[in-house]
Amino acid sequence: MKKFLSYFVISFFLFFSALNAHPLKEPEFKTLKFLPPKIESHSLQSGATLFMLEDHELPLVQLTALVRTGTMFESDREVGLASLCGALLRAGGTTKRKVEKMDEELEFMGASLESGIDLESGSISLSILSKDLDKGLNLFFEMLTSPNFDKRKLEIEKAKIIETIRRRNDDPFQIARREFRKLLYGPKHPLSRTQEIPSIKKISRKDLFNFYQQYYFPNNMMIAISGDFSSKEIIQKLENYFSSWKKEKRELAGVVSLQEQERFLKKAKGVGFAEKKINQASVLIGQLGIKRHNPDRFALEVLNEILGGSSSSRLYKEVRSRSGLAYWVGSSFSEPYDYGIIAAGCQTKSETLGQAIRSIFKQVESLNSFLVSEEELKAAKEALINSFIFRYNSSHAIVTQKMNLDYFGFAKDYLETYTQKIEELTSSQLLEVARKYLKPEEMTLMVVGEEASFDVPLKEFGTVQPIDLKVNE
Amino acid sequence: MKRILFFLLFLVQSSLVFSDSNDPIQNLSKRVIEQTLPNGLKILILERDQAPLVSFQMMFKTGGVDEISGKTGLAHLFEHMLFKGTKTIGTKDYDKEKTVLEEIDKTALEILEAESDAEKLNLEKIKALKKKMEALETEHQKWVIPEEYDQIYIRHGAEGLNAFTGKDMTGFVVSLPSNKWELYFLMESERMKNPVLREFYKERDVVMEERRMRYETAPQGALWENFISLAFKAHPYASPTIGWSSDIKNLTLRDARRFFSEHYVSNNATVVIVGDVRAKEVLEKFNAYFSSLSSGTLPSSYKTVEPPQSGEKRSLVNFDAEPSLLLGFKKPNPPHPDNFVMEMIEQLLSRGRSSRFYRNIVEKKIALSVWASNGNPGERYSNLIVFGGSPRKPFKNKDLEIAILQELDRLKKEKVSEQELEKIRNQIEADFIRNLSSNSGMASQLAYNQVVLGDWKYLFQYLKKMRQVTPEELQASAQKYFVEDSKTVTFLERKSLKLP
Repeated sequence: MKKFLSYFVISFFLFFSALNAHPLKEPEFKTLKFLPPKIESHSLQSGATLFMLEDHELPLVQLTALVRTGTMFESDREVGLASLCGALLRAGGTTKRKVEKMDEELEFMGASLESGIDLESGSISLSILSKDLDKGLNLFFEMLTSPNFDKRKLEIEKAKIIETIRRRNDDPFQIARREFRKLLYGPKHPLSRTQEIPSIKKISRKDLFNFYQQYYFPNNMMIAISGDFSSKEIIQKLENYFSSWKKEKRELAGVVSLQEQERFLKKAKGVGFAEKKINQASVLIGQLGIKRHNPDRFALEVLNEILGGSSSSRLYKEVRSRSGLAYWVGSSFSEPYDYGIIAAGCQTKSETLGQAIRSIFKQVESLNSFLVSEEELKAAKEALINSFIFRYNSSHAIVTQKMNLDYFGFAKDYLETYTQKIEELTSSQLLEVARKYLKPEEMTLMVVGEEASFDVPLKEFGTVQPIDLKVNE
Repeated sequence: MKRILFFLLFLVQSSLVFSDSNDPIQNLSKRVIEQTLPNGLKILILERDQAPLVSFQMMFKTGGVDEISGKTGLAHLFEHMLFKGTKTIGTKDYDKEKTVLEEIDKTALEILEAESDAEKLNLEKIKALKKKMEALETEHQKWVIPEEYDQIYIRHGAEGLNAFTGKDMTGFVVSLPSNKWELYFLMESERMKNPVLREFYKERDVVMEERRMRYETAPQGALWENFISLAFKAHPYASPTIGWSSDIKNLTLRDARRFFSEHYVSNNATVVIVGDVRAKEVLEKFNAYFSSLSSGTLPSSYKTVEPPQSGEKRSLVNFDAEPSLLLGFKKPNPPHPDNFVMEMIEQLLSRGRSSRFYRNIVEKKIALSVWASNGNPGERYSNLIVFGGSPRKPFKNKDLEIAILQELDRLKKEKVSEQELEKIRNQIEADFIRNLSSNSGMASQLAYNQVVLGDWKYLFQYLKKMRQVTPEELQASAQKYFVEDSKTVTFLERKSLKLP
């Protein structure tokens, strides 16, 4: 058994108030010294990695498993297969037990066992009172190794997905987000493609089995467990369960990445527009940014904090507080396996859409034209560094964070060096990074609303591409 | 993210207890430390040192229900205003700023007056006044440090800085690294003592946008607003917490100041702190920061009593969205014993995969989703148990309504098994224990039970009462409350294109 020394002292800088002669006198704060608890890790003989953190405060155990799979592995002809497989793993029962029986047993214990697959991983989570742990582990393992993918349950799940697709244009902001991704990635990229009714209808029980067999094997997963258990005992129990489950040697399928779509990207600039007869417009403005592990992420995180990441950000102050143009306004950046998105947006009444878009652009432009003031930089860094401790919110947060960092291949010292990397950034580095990634003239817009009431014709912001929201049944 | 207006389904899921001696729930009730200052301000502290973090909640027993007619939305707009700073936060020079603020207020009232004179609308005058207002607001910006109140919290590492207004109450929440706990007292006592309601008219516009976002362009919001205002005809629960548009547009700074002085008094509030703090230290400082606040006489709590309903009520919302429905019945609020039975019914029908709704409606492909929620839109006065859902094509709202009513009929006709009740009790107990692992979750529950239901210990009482509900009581309550006479139904559908 290997023990990680994930063992470091996070010192929280004692920032002296930078508010010179401010009438508000802040109390003096002690430095926060925190020794994160040690996480034990163990490799099961079957190849699964186990992360453990005992915490006996409450009679509860939480377990989360990650399986290396994801909707990104689907081909674009079978979109929906992975998420159906993830849902049916749980909802379809096992070869030993009908799902109704499993539901009754779990709910009678006040426990929950859930499964799903999203973009880059599959997950299974169990939450149970510690007195029932053995029963819970038994169900967890049974589901993982002998799912039945019951045909009737598959039809129910498909019916739910089809109805959800039929309803996907009910909410304007949901339309904006979905179509914005399609504009940036094209319609066939794993980060943008959507489930469609005809392909969902075609998915069979056999397809689920095949998908399951391709990815669900012991040396393709990790397990994080926290709470009221004994590490020694849990290792023994899991070894016993997993001993009957075969290791596999299997290469994972390739994933569609953006390079293959560059031809599409060249014409991606412009304005996507979906008409909806409502009195408030939704707008998203942005472009592709960085992949996971890009060292510029720290500068982008600070830039985002300054631009629209909080309620003291520039967009919030300008668009919301000073102008009263929006309730929701903000910015974000993502860093998935392929290029992520850097975006800002808001929801504002139709008559002020143009004014709000101009205001957002102005803020973006000022970030890549001028140095951020020392005071603003300091405030943004302090916010990120001081709130860093919330990553250690609970035992389960700590142990799953460790697992996630491992799963996504982050450097071993990622957390230990995080605050330092933020602290070291200068305003000229921020300007350089802003110039590299924030290019207003290359940004794509997505607007949902009632065009006749807009204050400014959309063509002011680029070539307008009308979007048809029709759902194919 | 911030300043959420009430939760659409305001479920405060309180929960229950085991019976053994090392039971975490029993122990917990002994660990809550309670104190009240001479001015009536109450504090509850629960020490938890699992992580160096602490969560806070300050709740006032004032909400939409405390507004007067024509001023709906005032409680919520006022909640927003408490983030605008104080005489020392958010300003470069308060004395100079004050003069401009007074001018702005005066001009805003003149605009309102000019606009309300419908008979001879003087457009020239209105235009001139609006121009003046714009100039004043520009002038005012010279003195403002925008969002400084949030900024101070955020730069100290605050998470979840937020607030919410419901029909019954208003809550302010934040979590901090535990070494910064005293900052909370400084910031909250500042805004209680010296709030400056700056940028009021811009914030009013922000709330209009919030209203558009949550209720006018969102089908579920539109449906909810329509349904609640149909179910109640006299009691103030009828009007939406965010306010009717025309009321919001006419709210003034004076209204806001009055609301503050009447409702934001120390004897109308409770502070809850859960996390890595030492109660003794906290109590000393509590006294130092808050004892100078003044208490007040709360305005009359008289509310129009909702007259008995004498027949089913029905309405239709035309909306460009797929169909969905809400259906509700009137019933008593806590601490009435039947309220516990309704809590049980909510769980029995809609909690989890083995629930009756899931098995008999969702799995029969009649609906995409269907749920139950007891205690809407508030719990200070008699209220509704609400059922809602979205039918799955080719089924329609009508089919889903029938399916829900069939389940209610079953409750009236058949006794629920002990096994099924026991399952619910176990789930509620497990939830309660899970919630203990969250500082902010515990703070919310303690605050809600203290402020809205009158005593934080009600949280534990709830668990005990839920243990005692019998199959007979459940059947009797179903028969008593699920009756045609007190039913309200609202359908949301696309406008039919058929000619009459």
